[in-house]
Amino acid sequence: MKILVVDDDDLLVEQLTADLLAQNYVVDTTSDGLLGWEYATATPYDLIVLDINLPGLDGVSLCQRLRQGGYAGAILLLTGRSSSDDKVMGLNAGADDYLVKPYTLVELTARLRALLRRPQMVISPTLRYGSLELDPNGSLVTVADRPVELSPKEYGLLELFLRHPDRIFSNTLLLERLWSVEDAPGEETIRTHIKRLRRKLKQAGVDDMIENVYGMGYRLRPGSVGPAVGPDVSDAAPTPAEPDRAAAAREAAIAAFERFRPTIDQRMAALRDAALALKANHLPTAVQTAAQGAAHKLAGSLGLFGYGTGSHLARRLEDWLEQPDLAQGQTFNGLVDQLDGLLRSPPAATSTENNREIVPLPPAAVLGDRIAVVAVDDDPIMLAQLQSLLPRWGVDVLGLQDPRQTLATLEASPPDLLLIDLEMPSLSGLDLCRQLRQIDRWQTLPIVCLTACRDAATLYQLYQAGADDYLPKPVVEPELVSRIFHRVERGRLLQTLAGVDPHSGLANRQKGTIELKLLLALAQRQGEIVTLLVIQLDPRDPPGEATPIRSLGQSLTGLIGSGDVLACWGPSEFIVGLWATDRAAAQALLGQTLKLQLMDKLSSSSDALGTLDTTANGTTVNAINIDAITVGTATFPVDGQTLPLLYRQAQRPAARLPLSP
Amino acid sequence: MTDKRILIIDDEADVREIAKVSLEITKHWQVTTAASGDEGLALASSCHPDAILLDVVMPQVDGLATLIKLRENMATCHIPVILLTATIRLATQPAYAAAGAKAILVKPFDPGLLGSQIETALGW
Repeated sequence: MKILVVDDDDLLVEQLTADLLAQNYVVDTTSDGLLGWEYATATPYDLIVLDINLPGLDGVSLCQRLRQGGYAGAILLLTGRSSSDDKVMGLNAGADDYLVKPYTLVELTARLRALLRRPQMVISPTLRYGSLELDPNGSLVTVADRPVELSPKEYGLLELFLRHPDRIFSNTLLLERLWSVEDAPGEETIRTHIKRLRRKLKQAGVDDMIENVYGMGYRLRPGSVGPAVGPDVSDAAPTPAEPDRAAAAREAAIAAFERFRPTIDQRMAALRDAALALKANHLPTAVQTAAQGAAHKLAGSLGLFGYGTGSHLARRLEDWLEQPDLAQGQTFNGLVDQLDGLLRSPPAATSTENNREIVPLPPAAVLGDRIAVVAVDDDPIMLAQLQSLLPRWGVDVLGLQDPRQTLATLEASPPDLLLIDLEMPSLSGLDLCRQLRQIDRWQTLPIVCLTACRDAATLYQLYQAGADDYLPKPVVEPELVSRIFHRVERGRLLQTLAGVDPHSGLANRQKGTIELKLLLALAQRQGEIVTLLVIQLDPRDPPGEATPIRSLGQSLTGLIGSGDVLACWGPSEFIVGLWATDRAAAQALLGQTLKLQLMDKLSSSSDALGTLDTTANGTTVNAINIDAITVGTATFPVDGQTLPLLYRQAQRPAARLPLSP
Repeated sequence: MTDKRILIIDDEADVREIAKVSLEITKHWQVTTAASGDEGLALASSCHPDAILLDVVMPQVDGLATLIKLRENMATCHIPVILLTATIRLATQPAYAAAGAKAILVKPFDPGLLGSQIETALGW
């Protein structure tokens, strides 16, 4: 039971609150009439106690406003005035009862209890849907004036849908509204009730009234809904339950404190032992360790019980004990005393010290690398926000304001994930998504959409267009980061399964192995030869710099034929399997001209690596030192008949193909 | 939001209790608890929770060791793990990311928000 007390007599409020809390009521108090109005519209109260004389908004006016707003709970007016005019005015304004000061606390609580016992007799207008009518006052349901028999839960469901024609109710929400916490059944029960309700309605001649919204819940089919009841204060906020439940959880935690007091006391004792020892100017290791352990535990738990500051103090104590300075024992003792004092006063239900964000961790698969994200959004502010927020999480963002450049950007620097804003004027985000998914290369690219829409239709379209996930706007940091990490991890997994190496876009080692084995098996059957080339790049730059690898990979793609195999074997290694080609032919194809061809390809490729730079250290093309490319060969069947054997043979120094012109 | 099953592994009774009550009240999830890494491993294999809250500092088998065992076991390797720690510094330890934990939450957590934070971190 929730009670709101709006009264500026502090002493009375304190006494009343203590009394009500002791009887397990939930009590909110305020001393201002306008604040009282705000409270009442934000939370469903069972009873509101109002003083007539209030700052902000007087009691009678507040009472009127509450009733006009549809508040159906009990209202008790308190006043020092006893003239009958006032009483009448109060009752006319919609108060259920009226109490004149001075009154005793006992009297007041007795009246309150009486009010809370009374059924709420507020006349609600009939709810209509087509030919169906629901009269909440008599709990009667008729279709074309013929009565329909419904069980209490079926009636409850119907009334809920009719009162909120535009709400989608999930199973959880339905459970919350219609069942008490103690006897909440499973989702199956909801489905059964809905099924029965639908059947009864159909029999009565109303078909298709309740629709399933895929993945979200049930709602009234948009159609002919009659005069809805006015803003019903008890159902005002979109999810009135959530903040209530959060508060209830905090209260339950505080209530549990007494049970854990012995443990807390033990820990405090360990701290006091340390304080005592410090007064004598020495701190034996055993005492220090015990105190450190105690402080650590207290830091982690006091905040749970509403002593957020306590956790904070305990942390400082823990830090102090890490490097104890006996000369500064005073500091330590002072903190312990503070903590002691704090624990003797009651805890705070709304502790702001506990506002810790959950910290998402980067997926193991990408640890060590930075995550590359391309974000397509016509809003430069959003892009700037992403670019300032994400780097500290190891995510680098390339922002694109013009969605038409997306394809070119992706080809030039394929990212780990693509963020698309759905609300863009020029090209629709969904169209972009659809276009990308039609291209093989971007099938496995994780795509996350940013959208302000929450409706089922948009979300459905989003998934149909090929997006993997969405983030609601305004974007919240922990959620953004968690989704990015999650989708990148899934993307990597998909790519591995699809056989694609993320950096080069070529076949990865698993796929390459399969293809090479097939090539060798075919060669065996047809009596053909295959030359294996193992191309290793020894990069001088730090790992994670994928550009040279990618360029090399792209160049190699252009140099092989359709029956050949090309795969990325490792971070800086490629394997080529050349059909019906011997070592000499391979050399001719790739050997002497490899360097020049590569240099040619590299300098003309889209991620132009700049000019050739001939220095004393060798010829480099930007970050690639050409002399650091080694190509080893081995030919099937003469050098080996299995892939592992051929690979080993290709590593021998004698197997090197000279590259210098 | 379907009913989720959560396993909480923490050697401290107060944390177990508050976390359990918090998730039951705010999200109506089913919560099981374990007081040690070993107990947690056994429960995770038999009950298959949808997520595990794991305390980092525990006597005997500590959080990291438990996490590694969970990831190595075929029956439990797919269950997302959120670490609980009272030490702020630990929040950035790469060892935990490498071991496969999804997120870290620093104690004391807010009993009113724990459920929502878990949903955010796991994309529920």
